[in-house]
Amino acid sequence: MADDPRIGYVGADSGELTFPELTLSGQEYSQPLAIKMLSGGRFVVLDQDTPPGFDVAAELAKLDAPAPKASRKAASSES
Amino acid sequence: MAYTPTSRLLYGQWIAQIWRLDANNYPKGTLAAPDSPVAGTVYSPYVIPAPISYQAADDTFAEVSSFANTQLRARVQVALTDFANDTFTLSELDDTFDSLVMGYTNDVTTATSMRIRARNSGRRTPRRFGLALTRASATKDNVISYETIIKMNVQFRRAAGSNTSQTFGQNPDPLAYTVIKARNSRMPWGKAFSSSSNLVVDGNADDEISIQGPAPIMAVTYVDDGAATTFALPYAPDYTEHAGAYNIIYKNGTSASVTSISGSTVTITAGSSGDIWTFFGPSTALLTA
Repeated sequence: MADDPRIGYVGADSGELTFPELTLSGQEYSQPLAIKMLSGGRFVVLDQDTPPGFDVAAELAKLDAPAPKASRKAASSES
Repeated sequence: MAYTPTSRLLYGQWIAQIWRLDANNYPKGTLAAPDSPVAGTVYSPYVIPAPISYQAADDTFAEVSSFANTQLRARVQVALTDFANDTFTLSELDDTFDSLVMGYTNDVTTATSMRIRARNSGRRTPRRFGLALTRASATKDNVISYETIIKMNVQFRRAAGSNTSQTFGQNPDPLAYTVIKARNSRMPWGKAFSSSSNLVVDGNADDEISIQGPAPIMAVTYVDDGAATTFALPYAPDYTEHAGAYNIIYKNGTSASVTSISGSTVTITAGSSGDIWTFFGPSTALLTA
């Protein structure tokens, strides 16, 4: 299942977390210092040092707005 | 089963975690603006990768004596008059820790494949933190447990800029941070000290507490958005109980109930947006963080 590498998932039955590869802005990270919950058992890791000009609220709204299925489709079509 | 106090061997500097305090002394992870959290977000401490020692200095106490007939008469200790500064030492240069405690932002934009840091020697209002230090303990039968010491209200400074040296066998940079301690009227999870709290101290404030438990204690804060019914813990808790045996769960400084803990997910009844949930519980996963 090809997913947006910025999105993590909460196991529906286990409650265990699958962490995303990248932070919300696409940076690598060493520790999940801030976790923002999205709808549908998804979450993103926020940046420790947010790049100047990066609109966190807008990006979160974009990720949270569509249904998860539509989001995954969009992510895979970009790759 | 209640923990049975016993004499024990203490050893090692295992895990060190640091979190910022907001204006009301609630923990807020590493949030740059701790009084302006994003609702629906979990904030967790920075786990410091290479701590080697924390050296607590002797406090200063006032003493009063009387003298008559060429000899000492009464002599009493009155009270603590000041804290001395402690020293926290890392064995490596950690620019994430340094920028966090010195209050600047690392520049990863000027050169996106490099990292530029400063010293921020001109800072006017040093940040305030909670600092958790975990050491191990062993009974005479070698039963291992962990003691997490929490310095509840501290500030940091580096005494000097960076050094270089050709001396081998030791890190040439002085990575010792001076720690300025103060008291906190809240326990780390936000409960106010009071005469009716389970931990009663004189003056309803203190500088440190320690928690003896089966694993290092993770400190997590969730800021409610008034809608979500789950939040995620950054490290798996060792216990999924939520009846008050191991996991300390508070909301806005008051003991709170949760629906369940499954894996690393805590299920709650959503509160109001901005409510501050705190979760302090043992997590062996921290040992490999």
